[in-house]
Amino acid sequence: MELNKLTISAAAKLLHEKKITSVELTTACLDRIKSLDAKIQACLCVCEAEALAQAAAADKRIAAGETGDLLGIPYLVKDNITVAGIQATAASKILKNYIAPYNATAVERLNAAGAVVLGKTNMDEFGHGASTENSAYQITKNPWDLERVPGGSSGGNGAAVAADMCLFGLSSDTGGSIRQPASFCGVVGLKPSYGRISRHGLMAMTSSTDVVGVISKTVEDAALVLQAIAGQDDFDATASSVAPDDYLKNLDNGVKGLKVGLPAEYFTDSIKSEVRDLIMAQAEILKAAGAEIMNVSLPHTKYSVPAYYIITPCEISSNLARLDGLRYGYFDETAKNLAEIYAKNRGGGFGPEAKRRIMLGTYALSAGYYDAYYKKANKVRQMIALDFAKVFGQVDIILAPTTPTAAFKIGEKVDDPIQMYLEDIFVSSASLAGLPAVVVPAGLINNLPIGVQLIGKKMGEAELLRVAKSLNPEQNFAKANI
Amino acid sequence: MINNEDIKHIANLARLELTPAELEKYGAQLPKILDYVGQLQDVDTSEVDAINNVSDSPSEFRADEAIDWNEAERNNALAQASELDGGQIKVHRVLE
Repeated sequence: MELNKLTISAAAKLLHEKKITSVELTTACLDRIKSLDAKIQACLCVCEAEALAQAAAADKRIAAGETGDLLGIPYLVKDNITVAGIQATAASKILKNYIAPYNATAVERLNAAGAVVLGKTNMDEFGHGASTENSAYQITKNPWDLERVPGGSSGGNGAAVAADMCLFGLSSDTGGSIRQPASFCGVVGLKPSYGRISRHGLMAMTSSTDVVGVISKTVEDAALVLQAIAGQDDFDATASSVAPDDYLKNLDNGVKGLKVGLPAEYFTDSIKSEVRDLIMAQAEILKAAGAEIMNVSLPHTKYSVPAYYIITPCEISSNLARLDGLRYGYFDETAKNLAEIYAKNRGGGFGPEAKRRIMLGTYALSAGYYDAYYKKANKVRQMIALDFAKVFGQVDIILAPTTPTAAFKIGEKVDDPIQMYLEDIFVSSASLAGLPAVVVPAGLINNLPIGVQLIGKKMGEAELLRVAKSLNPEQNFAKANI
Repeated sequence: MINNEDIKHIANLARLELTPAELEKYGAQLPKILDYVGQLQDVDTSEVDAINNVSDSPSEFRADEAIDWNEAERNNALAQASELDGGQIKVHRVLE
């Protein structure tokens, strides 16, 4: 048995039955990383000694009779989420050698549950991108085709889960960063509602849409992780006080009588017909299971990418203003005064896309432009949110494509920012409206995975995951031949 | 339109030192991106307010109380600085 290939639920069962140990499970993942990651380049750092110590501690807890779904389960963390004592660079040169002094709340809760941190995964610098090519360190390859991108920004996390380097990935989604890689890599990606999981310890990118989420091998596994990390937190005032649901209780209750909406604006000529066919086949699965399929309209969908690419650079330019290299991070020794220290540390430390977004945001927020850009974009955002509110008066769940195509080739879009931004066309709306969304594998096109996206009502993760489980995505869970 | 001087001005506001090649690149790309996002002006938004907070609930406040870190935690945080002096971060000279 290759232990690294197990799902969380299967591994937890074997751990509780004492048929395997966490040290064995963790070692299997570490071995997989060692044998494969030179090719995939998903990991930015692997902390073998710490992981094995955590695994041994988990084995002790199990031996003492403790049970827990995540006790002894190894996972990888996106490099923009802090784990105390381990690097947190967000794949940026400006934070090279930065060691996080505290745990993100999600990591703290996973630690308490006994999960084991294997290391940190590659990403587009600070989350800026949809291909993971914007990393200052390495280009992650898609396990399905090494010439293709894994998606982004959580490409390292997606590739690692797809290649069985870990049992799940702790990740973040700002405008599609969990869902698009999940689609491209053939795994499950859960972006919870804004405020469902604390953002404490997640490096701020677009504070009004950033969420912590999960990349996993099954829907049930995503529910198990969400269950462990959701809920209010004193360290994040935007973490909701609405009590989390039990995400496992009704997971197998099916979709009988449920109304599922297909938004016309997501099924235009912009998606390939093979993708459309795969997504429509998913709707048929729900129909066969007793759901009612309805056509709905989200008329402002086409404005979500332009709104997102104003709001995001504006918030990025503000959030990244805190990085100047003075107290920590990249420092250019040739700087002679304060103005030069700022300009040289930031000019030398940030990569091309981060700089592009800082420039764009600085321009849009500069004197005289605020109303025309940021304020206007946030008004359009309100209209997008109202579209969803109206549709959720008619249906319970929205079913839509995740991406217009399967994974594209490395280098294909890297010189054309607008083409790269348009990768977010089906994923940015849910982020702008703060809604939960999950992507699960729908099938393969030319041996490349495509995921279907479900969007739910705010804080409706339990229902969302139940519908996702009803799609029975595990049958589409082909494995990359690597 | 954004000219070369505008790009330099934005870079200065953003405290980014850019190479001539970068100035040229962003000078060409920014107008294209702004042109693309300009389609937002087509949307009639006269009936709505701007939102930048999609939370259902207002922010959750806690008591404003400092939580002490232990010495190891404090040392780990301070270890990120290139130079320390008496437990404080010593930065490079910033005044000429």
